[in-house]
Amino acid sequence: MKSIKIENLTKYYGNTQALNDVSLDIETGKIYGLLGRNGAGKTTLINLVTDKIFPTSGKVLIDGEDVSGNDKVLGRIYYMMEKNLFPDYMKVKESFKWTHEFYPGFDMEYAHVLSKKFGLSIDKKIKSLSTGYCTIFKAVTALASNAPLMIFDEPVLGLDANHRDLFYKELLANYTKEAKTMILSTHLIEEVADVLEEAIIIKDGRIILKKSVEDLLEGAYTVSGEITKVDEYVSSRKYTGAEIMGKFKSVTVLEEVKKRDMASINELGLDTGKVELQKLFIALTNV
Amino acid sequence: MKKMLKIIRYQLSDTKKAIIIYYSILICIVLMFAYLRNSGTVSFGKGDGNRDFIGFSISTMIFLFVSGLNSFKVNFKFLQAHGISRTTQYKSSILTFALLTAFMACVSLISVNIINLLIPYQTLHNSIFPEGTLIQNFVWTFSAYFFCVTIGWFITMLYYRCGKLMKTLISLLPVFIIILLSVANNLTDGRSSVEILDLMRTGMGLKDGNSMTGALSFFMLSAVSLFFSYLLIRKAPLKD
Repeated sequence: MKSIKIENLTKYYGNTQALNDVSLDIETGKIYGLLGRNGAGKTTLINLVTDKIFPTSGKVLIDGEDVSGNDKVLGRIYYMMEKNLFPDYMKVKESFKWTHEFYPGFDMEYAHVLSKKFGLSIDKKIKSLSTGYCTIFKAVTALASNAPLMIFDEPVLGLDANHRDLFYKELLANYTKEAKTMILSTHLIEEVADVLEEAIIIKDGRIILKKSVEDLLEGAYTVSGEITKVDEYVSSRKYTGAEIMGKFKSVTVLEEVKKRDMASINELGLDTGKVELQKLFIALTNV
Repeated sequence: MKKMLKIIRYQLSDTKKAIIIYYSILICIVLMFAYLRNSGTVSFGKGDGNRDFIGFSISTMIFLFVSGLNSFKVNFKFLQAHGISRTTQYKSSILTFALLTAFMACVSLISVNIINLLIPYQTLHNSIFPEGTLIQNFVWTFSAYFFCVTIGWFITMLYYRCGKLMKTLISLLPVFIIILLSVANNLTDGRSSVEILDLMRTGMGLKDGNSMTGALSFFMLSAVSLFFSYLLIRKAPLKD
């Protein structure tokens, strides 16, 4: 897979606009985070990319081919949906067998190894799985699919801290083993921050930012100290996310830190720090 | 094509259990009637002045209709999860239905001689068209079975695509039709129902005693329902 191109996607549900003229180029071989608040349009965008629903206008091209009704292209995408699309009466091991039929790259041995690691019983019926284990089942199937494009929608929903940690480790191991493109759509930004290479932020159906996480974090910093001094420092700067704790104030400055900034910071006796992706996300989506 | 074969295999394996249960029930019914007939509790069949048993063809039609009703939503979701396009799913489903109905039509024909050893039995085709050949019997049975499964598939797809209001209206449609027919019947002094019945008799080949006319009608009705099914599936969104 060489390229994923989203061209002027617009989606209406009745009179409600879920996506507004979204255009995006996704370079392959990276881990993306599709970040947005509830109802921002994340799932709608993914559903359109995977041909689960139809756009009001616009199209999605993968390697130059329209994804709509295209078996060849669709067969190279594995989408772990938030909802379960497998028949309830099917056993986990049967679902592995059928996924292997439709995704020839599906690694059965790896699926069994992952199931063991997560404590997922493959003899159980899907309907008997708890919310957490249903998520594990879907995640294991997705990871073992070996599809060149893997999309995860809320991949850690209902998982405990240990399983979430294990999932991120396995995700990275899978990614390192073979070059592929991964898109993670999640609310838990703090947890995925270390996994992501690129962040795509969606707000009110529009892409407001697409940047490497590294550049994104380098383009902002936090300043904290006495309220009056912080106010003095940020008076001529673009900032967001002000937090006041007693006499102290902390803000996120949305600029790259320069030498003369450091001089001012030292002069005013302020502290600086690296910004967290989650804080930056909150700042950007609250504007 | 390779993908289509896999889908057919999946869909057939999904129906396998239901078919086994269905035929097991039929076997039990045959054995039960054989026992009751031999013990003199019930009497039917030639020589007893009663009719032969024909219910199995009709029950197979009902089974296939219900199979059609059950074979859209779950399969659609499962195949959507596996990157299968709607068109491929549509084509594969038609082939699955053709194979399934051909198999069940064969079973219906082959089982006649076996069931006849136990109870007097004939297929629905033979009871309507006593002069029909074995091939005509197969074609007619196949066409009738195929129609039943495709109409079930179409109805379930129609319900899937419709909103709450449309679902209610569709559910009430048979009632509207019955009211409309009875009004038309009253207005025409009973001529409209005679005309409709006559049309149905002609379409089903009952008038000329040719089962192939009936088979052709079943195939045409199946083609119409499959055409509308295509219109419904080609833009079917994935929903709960």
